[in-house]
Amino acid sequence: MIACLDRLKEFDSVSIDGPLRDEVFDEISSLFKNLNELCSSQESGNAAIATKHGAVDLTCSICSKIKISTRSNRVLVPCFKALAVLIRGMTSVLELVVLVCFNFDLC
Amino acid sequence: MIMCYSIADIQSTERFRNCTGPNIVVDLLNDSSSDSDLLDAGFAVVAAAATGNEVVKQLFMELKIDELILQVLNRESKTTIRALYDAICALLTPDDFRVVASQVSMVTFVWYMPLLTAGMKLRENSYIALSKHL
Repeated sequence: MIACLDRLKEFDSVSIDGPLRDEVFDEISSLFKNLNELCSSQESGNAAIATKHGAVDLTCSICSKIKISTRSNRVLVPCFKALAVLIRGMTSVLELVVLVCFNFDLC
Repeated sequence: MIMCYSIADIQSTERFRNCTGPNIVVDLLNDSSSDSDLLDAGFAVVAAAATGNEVVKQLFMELKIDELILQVLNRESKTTIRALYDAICALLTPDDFRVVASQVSMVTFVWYMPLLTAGMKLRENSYIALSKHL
């Protein structure tokens, strides 16, 4: 996962100003898919580790550099998915139930 | 137990807020017109970020996320964008007492409620969730 983040950092620092080649799009897209899979399992705590290593900032930064076009959806969709998983962090179903109960003064 | 979960939750949403995440996501959603996968993924981010953080909710409201949600509901009335309903719920649920964004949003949605009910085929559970909050 750290390798995955490092590779994304490289892309981020190179800056995505000019028109991107298809290979780069594909690689960023698959990196985000990897990140999403790694952080999706609740037990691993990967999401928290990734967030500690600046994954949220990195993903936001890459997001802000992508301009909307027909091609960009290929990167943006996995990018958003990874971001949602990262922000949700370790929130499991049980916690959500606890939080909801807490909100409605049930516990 | 509840406290530490809430704190862990707030940490990542605060990070998202600090790197101007709400602006970036709303700008991208505004620009992207009709791709339902993108809208779904984007609103999932909105829902995740707004859960448990009242300041982020207020930021989203300042960026006129409510208008965007209504636009999407109007335009995509035939496709179901699941995350959109999660986002509405997250925005309408009050979590702490720092600001009253969810109350502002509640007023807006009460205004638009006739539009919501008349035009759109809301999924049943989302509708129940909505009416619970209103």
